Amino acid sequence: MHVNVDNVSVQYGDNVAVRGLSLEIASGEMVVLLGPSGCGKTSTMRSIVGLETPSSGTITIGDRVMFDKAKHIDVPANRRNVGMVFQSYAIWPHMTVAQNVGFPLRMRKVPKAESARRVADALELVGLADFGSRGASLLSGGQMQRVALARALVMRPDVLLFDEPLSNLDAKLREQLRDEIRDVQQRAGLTAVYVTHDQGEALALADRVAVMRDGVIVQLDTPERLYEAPRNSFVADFLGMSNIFHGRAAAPAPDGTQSISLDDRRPDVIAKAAAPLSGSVSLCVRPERLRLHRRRPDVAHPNVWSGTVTSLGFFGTHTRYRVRAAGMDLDVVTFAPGADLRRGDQVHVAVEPCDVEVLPEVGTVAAETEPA
Amino acid sequence: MSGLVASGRSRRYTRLLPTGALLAVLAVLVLLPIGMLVYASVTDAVPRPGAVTGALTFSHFSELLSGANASAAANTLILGLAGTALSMAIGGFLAWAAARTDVPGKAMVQLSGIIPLFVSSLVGAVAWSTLASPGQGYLNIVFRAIGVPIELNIYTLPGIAFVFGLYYAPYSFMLIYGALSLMNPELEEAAKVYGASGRRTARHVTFPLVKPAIAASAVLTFGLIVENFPVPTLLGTPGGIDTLPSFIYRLMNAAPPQSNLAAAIGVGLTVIVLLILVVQRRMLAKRRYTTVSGKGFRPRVIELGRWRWAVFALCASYITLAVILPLAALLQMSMRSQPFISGVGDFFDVSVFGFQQFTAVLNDSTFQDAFRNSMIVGLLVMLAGGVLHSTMAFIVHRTRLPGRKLVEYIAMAPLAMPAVVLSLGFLWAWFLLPVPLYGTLLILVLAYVVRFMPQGYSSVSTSLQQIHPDLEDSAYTSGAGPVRSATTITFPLIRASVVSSALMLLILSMRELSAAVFLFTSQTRVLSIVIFDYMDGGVFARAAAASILYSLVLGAIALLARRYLGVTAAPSRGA
Repeated sequence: MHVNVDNVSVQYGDNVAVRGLSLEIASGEMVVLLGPSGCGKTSTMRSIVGLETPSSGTITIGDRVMFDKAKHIDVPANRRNVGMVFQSYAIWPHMTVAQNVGFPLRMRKVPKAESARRVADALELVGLADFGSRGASLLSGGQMQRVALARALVMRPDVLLFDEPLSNLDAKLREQLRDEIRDVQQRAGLTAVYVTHDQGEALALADRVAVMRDGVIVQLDTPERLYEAPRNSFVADFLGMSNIFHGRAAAPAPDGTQSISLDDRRPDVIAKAAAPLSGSVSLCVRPERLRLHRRRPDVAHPNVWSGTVTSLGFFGTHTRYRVRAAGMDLDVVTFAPGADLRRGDQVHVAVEPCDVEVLPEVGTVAAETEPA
Repeated sequence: MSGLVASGRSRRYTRLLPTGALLAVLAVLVLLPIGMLVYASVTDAVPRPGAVTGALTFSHFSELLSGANASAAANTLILGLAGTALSMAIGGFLAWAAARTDVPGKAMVQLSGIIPLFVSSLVGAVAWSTLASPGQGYLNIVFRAIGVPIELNIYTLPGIAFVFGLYYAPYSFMLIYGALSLMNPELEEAAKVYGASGRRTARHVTFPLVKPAIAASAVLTFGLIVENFPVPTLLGTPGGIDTLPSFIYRLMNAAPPQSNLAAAIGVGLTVIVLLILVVQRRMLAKRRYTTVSGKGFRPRVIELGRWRWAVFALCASYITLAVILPLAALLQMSMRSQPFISGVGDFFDVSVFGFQQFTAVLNDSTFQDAFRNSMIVGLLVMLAGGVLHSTMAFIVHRTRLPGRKLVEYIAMAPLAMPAVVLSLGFLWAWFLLPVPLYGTLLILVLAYVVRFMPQGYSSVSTSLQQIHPDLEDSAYTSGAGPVRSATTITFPLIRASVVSSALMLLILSMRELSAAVFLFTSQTRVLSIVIFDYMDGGVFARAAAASILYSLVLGAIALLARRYLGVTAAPSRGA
């Protein structure tokens, strides 16, 4: 069901966790709130479910106004029909698995027979068909999170929220469960909000990702757009991009190239951006866009720096190098096997001007917020 | 969050209701007695039924540090320090032996650190006056017989400090044992790996990590000894030794009673305990770095080698002095038809043994009434305290109702009130109130509910805080309202600890003497009062028999509690 968060602020005493945040979520869409701890992502989500009372704004789910500060509307969490999967699983230890999953139906006075059927279906869906009569305190972490998912699904929620549900699980299980969550959400056509600080999880799960910082959304985009065109250096940094440097951009030349000076010790970098910026900027070069050459390339190349391989690691599909060149520590990824470089080898690093991204510095953008 | 959620405008007013009602009750129960005490300390008249009179004067406070007051204050300080030092030495040693060594009979050593808690300090005092009174004390008789030229006298400062040391050692034991056995052994292993010897590991790693527990138990023990009433009263009176609590009692029983001075001393004593609590709070606040993770670690064990049995002997001699000898002495005293003992042989003269004292006590209508009264009071405290303390803990930790912070402060306030002082404040408070509660068992019930409020409140609070708020939040998101989530999730999860805290209240109430001293009448004596009266009246054999019966009752309740509910938590205060 369609969710509309409009100009919501959340405040704890003097501490503002969320500042006038607006967000529209389409029916059936999965939006991931991504950001470092303290960015307000959890407060935003808890406001949607009704566990947090915002200090201003409105929240609408479908046609129902759930929260409206001005009109004194605040529908309690138990009447919002919003499901939530908690980071701590929140499985009640004094109940069996089936009792845990059946709890929302008991609260809704669903008849016993129907309730039993729906619980069985939900447990089947999460792969715990035979676990119904088990005590909930005897489950493993992964099983608990599956029970939590079944409990949220069984109530047929209008919106389903996930609060870092995978952060307490080990890496392999995390990936597996992540794909299952996405699968279930898409098959059921559920509207979902997912909170995480793991950018890989965010990109893999989301229809759209909202990158948050200091209580506002810095960028709201599809994973592809986000990765291709981060809005500023914070987003690029948080998405795990390396090779980010701060500098000053000169006015672009007629051919669209511009020179960016880092500092006295390092050479200028030539960039060619679609929409050039000037003044204080961040530049970002993706590791896979950098080329390594044993010999200096012959062609006249604006960005070629000689340097030394300081470390390297083989990752199966690719090899990752750390190169110290022209006063910069650069991450370089090559997909070609057999480059046969070793630690200490002399190399030349090259990058095309059009592969140098020029991004606004954090805090220099007039409006950091994404318009809703 | 899990506040009491309601929509609409009416919410503001309905939200004020629960805490408002609770705070009103607490004001009468807790704040009024404190107020009456302070009032009596700065006026020249005593609160009388229904009226507050008297002119303002600070003369009582100027008397505080003169004459008999000064010596009572000095004695309190000396006994507090000496008793604390001794109990820390005993408790710390037992804790170390039980947690970190391969001493034989480890489980028994551990148990011996806790068992003396179930002998109330009242019974301990009765027993030790039998064992070590000058002349006819049983130990002195034995010493004379085997030619040891020592004459023990328990009615002296060292004697009283010794009894304190014995019966407060379990508090240090529990805290230090907890710290030693819950410490992550990897911290010590790391010290070893990085080159520290066993001794240096102990000095640089183990000891600093246990230090907060040691400091906290020292402060706790000192506070408990300073406010103890029965021990200095029973053991100090023969030698003319007063402490502040016993001095308050004597002032109130003088003719005419010097109530205002007693109140001023009470205020002074409260301030002392308050200061101790402030120190303790600061220490606990710094204690955050402790390594206690709650995980079941297997701590590093020191192999004692040839010292194993020496350590065992020391542990065994503690339990002998604190429990076995005292109980044996009480039994001897109560079984004898002829109190005079001329030599060691008389201890084993079976012909004088009999159950006359027990039958006499059991047939004494005073004792019967007291037993009934103690049970009634204990059960009522268990019920009323269980409900009140749990409600307070729930409001503080599980709602966002306004005023809940105040509830928490009031809940902990009785900690600063020595029991004798609380008793005094209650006496005057219920003089003033137009409810004829004085002279009924109900006033004892209320006094005990207040006295044990910090323990009851914190034990329920602890278990509430251990419940992750997500467990309740997920009930909300599943469709349960505040009431249903409390009844289906919160209450089932804390039920066991509420029941065990209520049982703790029962045991504590049965043991309590000090809080009752100014509140009972001839119709409302409880067991502890009757034993105290027997002692006061010089009928030692009867006091001994009553003490044994009393200890049996307490032991039975503790056993039942343990058996059926796994309650091992020992009572943590009171006499």
